[in-house]
Amino acid sequence: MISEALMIFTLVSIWISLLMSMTTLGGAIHFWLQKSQELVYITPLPSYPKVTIVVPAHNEEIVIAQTVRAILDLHYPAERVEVLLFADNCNDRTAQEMRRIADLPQYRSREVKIIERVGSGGKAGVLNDALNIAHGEYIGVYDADAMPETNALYFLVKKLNEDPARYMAVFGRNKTRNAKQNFLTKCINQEIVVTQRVQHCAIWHMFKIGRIPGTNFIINRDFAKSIGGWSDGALTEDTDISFKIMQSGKLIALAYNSEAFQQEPERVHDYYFQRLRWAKGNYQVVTRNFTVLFKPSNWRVKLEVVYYSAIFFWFNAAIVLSNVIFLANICVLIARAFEPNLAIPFTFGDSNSSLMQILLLNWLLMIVLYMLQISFALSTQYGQATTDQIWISLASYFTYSQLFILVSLHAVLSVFLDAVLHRNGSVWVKTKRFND
Amino acid sequence: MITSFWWVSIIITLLFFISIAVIFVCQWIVYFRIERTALAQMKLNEKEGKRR
Repeated sequence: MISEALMIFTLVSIWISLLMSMTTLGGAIHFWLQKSQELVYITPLPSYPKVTIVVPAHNEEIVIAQTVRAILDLHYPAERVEVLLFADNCNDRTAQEMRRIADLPQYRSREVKIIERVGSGGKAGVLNDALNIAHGEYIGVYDADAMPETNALYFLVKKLNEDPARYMAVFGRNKTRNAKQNFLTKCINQEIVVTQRVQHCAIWHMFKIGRIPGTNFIINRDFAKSIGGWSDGALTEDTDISFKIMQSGKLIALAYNSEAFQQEPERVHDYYFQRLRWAKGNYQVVTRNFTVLFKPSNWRVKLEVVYYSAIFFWFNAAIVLSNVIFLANICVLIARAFEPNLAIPFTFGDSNSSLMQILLLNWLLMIVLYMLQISFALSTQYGQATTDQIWISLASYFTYSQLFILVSLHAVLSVFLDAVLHRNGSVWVKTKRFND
Repeated sequence: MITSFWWVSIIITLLFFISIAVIFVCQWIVYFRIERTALAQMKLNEKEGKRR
């Protein structure tokens, strides 16, 4: 009875999670059926607010030069752009590389300040420092490895101009510039494309909910100050400030044409610890905001808390349980070769055969849905939906996507131990950069 | 309970099938529209480039 109840709980949970995925995918499909026929015209904007672009860089000598060049080459009036380059607690040539580019003849007249910062707070600390010295009406943020496309800022401001009173922040997307490097980066690329072309587009289209991605976004400077800026030392300062913006009733708009190109981890070790930081940070933000579900507050925040809580706690638990059930049954089936009297721990008794066939079919359909989601996301990018990507998505289902279970469990345990043992959980593991 | 669950499974599986079929068709529509729009965008960008 208990084993049947556990199996039913697991399966119903997974079905509900798939319903959520399909709802999101449905929203994305509706969005792209409209947008896929729109041509993009680069026409003068009604206004060009001054934007202070901030680049927080910690030991980024390999990639910073390309990013600074890309920022200074943005298609936006030069006199309306202030650039603050922070070499944050660096012990390499990051600041020298920044100076080398800023001193080039074509950029000497530009408003560029290089700050060699020694302080705490990580990226959030840098952004808060920038808030205090910026002259722009908006703060734009690009990570050291995130090269903006020429019109990235143009599209962000174009979206902002649609409703500057409500849109306190606007974000674009970040493409993987080393996508073809190895199997890991190919899988990361697929995941990021699904996140940006399906999830971000769907939740903006359906609910006007946006999620600041950490790079390639702008935020109203005065508004950011009024909500207390970024939380110093936050592991995911982007999720944290997204919740603060929504709590205030303002919106984070999506400019889906604004693009930047960033490097993703090329080694499993770097990938694992990056995702661990994101998972821990998101757990911290969700648990901190959990009480809003029971208080009068912005409905978008409640929806996001429900979404994140369901994904991180409920559905993860169901997936872990389903893996335990699967492994337990497999182990007993193998052991039956030596001990035929062993009872399979998780079955449905006499109805077993037909139910197991239906459930096996569901399992196969889940794989198909996973691949279809990736295929749809890639089809929204010209030249990306290839046959190779289908095989990669099939392989990633059994490999890359299973890593998330480990990351998730590790993150929960880590957050719990940080609380119990009063540890400093806000430790960043630097992602290795590559000269591309 | 198991009999009810069996019927629930059948219905959900059928809904799954139908949804996947719809998504598959929509994906191809979006794919062709994106390709067509991208080519038109390239021609437009070329024309604007020449005009400047």
